[in-house]
Amino acid sequence: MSLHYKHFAVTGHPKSTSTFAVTKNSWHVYLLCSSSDLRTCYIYNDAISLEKTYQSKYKNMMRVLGQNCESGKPLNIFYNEKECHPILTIKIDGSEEKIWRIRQGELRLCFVYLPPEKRLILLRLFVKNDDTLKRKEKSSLKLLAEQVITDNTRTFARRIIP
Amino acid sequence: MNEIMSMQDPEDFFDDLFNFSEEDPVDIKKTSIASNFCALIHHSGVSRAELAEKLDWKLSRISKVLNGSQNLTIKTMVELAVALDYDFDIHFHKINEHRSLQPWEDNLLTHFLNEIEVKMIDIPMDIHRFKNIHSDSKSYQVQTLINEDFNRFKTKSLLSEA
Repeated sequence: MSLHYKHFAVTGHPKSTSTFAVTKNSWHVYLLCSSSDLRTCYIYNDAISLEKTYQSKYKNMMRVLGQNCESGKPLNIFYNEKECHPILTIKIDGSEEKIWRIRQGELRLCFVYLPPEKRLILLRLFVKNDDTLKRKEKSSLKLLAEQVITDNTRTFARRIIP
Repeated sequence: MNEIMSMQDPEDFFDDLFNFSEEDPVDIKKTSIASNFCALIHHSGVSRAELAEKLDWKLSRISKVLNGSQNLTIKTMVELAVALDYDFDIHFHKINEHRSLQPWEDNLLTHFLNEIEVKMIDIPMDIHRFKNIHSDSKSYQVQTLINEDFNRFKTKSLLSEA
């Protein structure tokens, strides 16, 4: 199965159209799926298992992320260092790639940048009371990040789930 | 492969996740304003520390003001904007229309104008009227406005030539 991606943009006409816009400048946010079936979306599976209180916080976190991605400015200028920073480094073909994390309350949203375009791929969502990742979480993140970074970007557009 | 674990219809989940219609518009505006100030600070090439010094604020106050959860006063917003050598107005738009362009988004206007092959630099149009973000599906209204003014310009040019 090849990786697929769900583009994160606003729906819900008309009220939410002013929430955030995705322009040519913006960071384009995608949710990673392991197949063309939306149910294989990692974030989806992490989010549906959240307790109800965290689900609204998660939605808020996504909205803020969308707003912060709108200008296309470096994402870390919108958060302080504790809220947005690299948490893991992986070596791929001799170059170091970073896995980033956004922290909002107990929620931890992990992602990687996928150049050359302004793409940001959301990998996993965790609920944590501390900042340490379990070994299993680390290995899962590293594996996903490696798959995304080494993915064939030429066929990326064809693997966006409508 | 990611395990398919959900019983919920993923379409419903994603529709809900991407729909911010029910979000508190005040919260949306708070984070949007904070996000715009963050982008403006970056655009101005000023660090948060330099800005804090200029305003005679503690750095922690800058962080607090920019974290998007505060109900910023007009005084605070004016102080911030002035310290960055900017001014701001309230620009109203219909709820389903896009907002004005920001100083860091001027390239979007050029891009838009190039797209419709209007390349004359002296085109006497009220540029602010067209400083609307064009989404991928450009609004009919913006196109109509541009066409109207462009036709008016063409008529004016023909008259002056005669």
